[in-house]
Amino acid sequence: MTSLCARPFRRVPAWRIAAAAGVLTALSIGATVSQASMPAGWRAGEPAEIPLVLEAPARATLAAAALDLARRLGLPGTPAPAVRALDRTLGRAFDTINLSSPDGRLATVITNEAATGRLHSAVRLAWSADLDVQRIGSPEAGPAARRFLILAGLAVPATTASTAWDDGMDAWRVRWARRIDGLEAPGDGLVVWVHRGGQLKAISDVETALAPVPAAPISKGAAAAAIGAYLQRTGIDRMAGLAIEEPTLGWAEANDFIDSTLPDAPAPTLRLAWLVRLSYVPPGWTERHFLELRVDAGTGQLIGGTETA
Amino acid sequence: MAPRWRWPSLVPWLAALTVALAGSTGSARAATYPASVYTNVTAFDTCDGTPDTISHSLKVLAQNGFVALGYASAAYETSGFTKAQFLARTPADQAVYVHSHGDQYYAPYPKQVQGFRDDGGDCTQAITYATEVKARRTSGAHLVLMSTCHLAEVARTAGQPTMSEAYGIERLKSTVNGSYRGPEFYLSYVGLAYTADMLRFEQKFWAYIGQGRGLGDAFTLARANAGMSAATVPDWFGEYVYTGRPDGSPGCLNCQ
Repeated sequence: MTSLCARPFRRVPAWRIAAAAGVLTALSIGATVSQASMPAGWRAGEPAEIPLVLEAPARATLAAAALDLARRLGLPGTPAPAVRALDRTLGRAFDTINLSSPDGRLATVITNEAATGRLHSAVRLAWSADLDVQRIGSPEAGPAARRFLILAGLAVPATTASTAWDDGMDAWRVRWARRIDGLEAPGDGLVVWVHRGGQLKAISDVETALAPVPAAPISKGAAAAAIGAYLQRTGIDRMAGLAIEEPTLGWAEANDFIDSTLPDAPAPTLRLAWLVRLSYVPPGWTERHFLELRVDAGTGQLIGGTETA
Repeated sequence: MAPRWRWPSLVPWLAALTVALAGSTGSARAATYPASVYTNVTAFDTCDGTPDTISHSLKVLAQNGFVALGYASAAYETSGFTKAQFLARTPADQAVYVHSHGDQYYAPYPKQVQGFRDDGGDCTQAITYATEVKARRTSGAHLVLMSTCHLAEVARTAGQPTMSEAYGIERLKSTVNGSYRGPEFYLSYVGLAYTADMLRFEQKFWAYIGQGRGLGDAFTLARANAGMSAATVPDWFGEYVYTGRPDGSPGCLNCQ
């Protein structure tokens, strides 16, 4: 195949990307967001977003930068001024720029982290018949995704991406798991969705802040012992077919899985943790139930987890 | 592919909008459109040995979402969420939300049928099958969310209805085949779904609906912004531009 999509990719001058990054960084310096002023974590039923003040010049500058990015990525629409809001579920503020088509419909949404100006997501919502013309398959999706990252001024991860068809997004999903010094952060990652026609559907770049690495991480054996004590305390150690995998080091956020008095929103930073996956068959069930538990690598405390539905 | 939005497809929207504008008050309309929210708390708490808050949080989000869209929604959990209660309300519900264990259960082996477990306040947890839902439905539902594993998958046993089909919602997307599919939308997950991811995704989904987005846009934006792990994969069927409103009106398609 000679072309991945009808319109060939344009090379973006480095100065243009640098200029855009400079604008966003300059705006972030004057940001009114402060961790200290953030309300306590979100709980279901409470407002998830709190609007923040963003002065008119900054709103217009962000809109112009978003338009430039949209054009580089082939995303349609004319931007409205940016709006800033604190996302209490993620624990940080974002600037959102909506780009609309001439008939007023929402065509593209671009979201940046307010504190850094970093791209959080760029999403195409407008549909056209050209998107559904079959031009690429799985082998071409990865290279296409890498080109979109370059056009967006984002670094292409050196790690191998996974590629799969995402029926819900009606596009190829190319995902790079986030790794920090070789350790995976399962909830974070860089994802590019590419239409079967080769056009960009969406970019999602989730990179949660990291807590400091503990000075003396606990051993795998200590983590296993902490898990063992928890399983005994909860009675899970008596469940049928209990199978426990080896603990692996990774980065994960604390949540209310262990301590149900905590807010619904997970902690806004990732901590180095021993991740332990296990499964068993609860009484009265016929299916296996899967859990992932997280042991803080610094304190040895269980800080959260998740389970299958 | 045909365009997603064609003039003939506007006819039912405009007719519905006319009815909505000429109709009665919001509260009276809500009473016309019953909805139910079911959450299995006991499975994720007592039965599996871990404390759980996500089931309750998902219930709050769904209940608030249904009410905001204009449904008269009741909510059931623990001993209130029984198979008998669910099936009794099944014929009339226009919107349904279930958070529970879902799978393609043997019924009996080797036949597999999509279903989910009730709560009942204990760990016995009877399975409600798609075939039982289908038998009680005489018309399609507007909005169905199965917050479970596996219930966005194709049927493993040929000839058995999927859960979406049980509610009269075919496994088709208006974005793909271009035709208007009417005021219907089904959302669930493929394979195993992790509850922490489900909370992240569904919180964003309801939030975008609250901002006036159509259900398709809400799905896409939530998928790109929720920060889920790779393991949890939601999917949908139905009409991309449908707002989820029970009167079937297009609502606020151009909201900014």
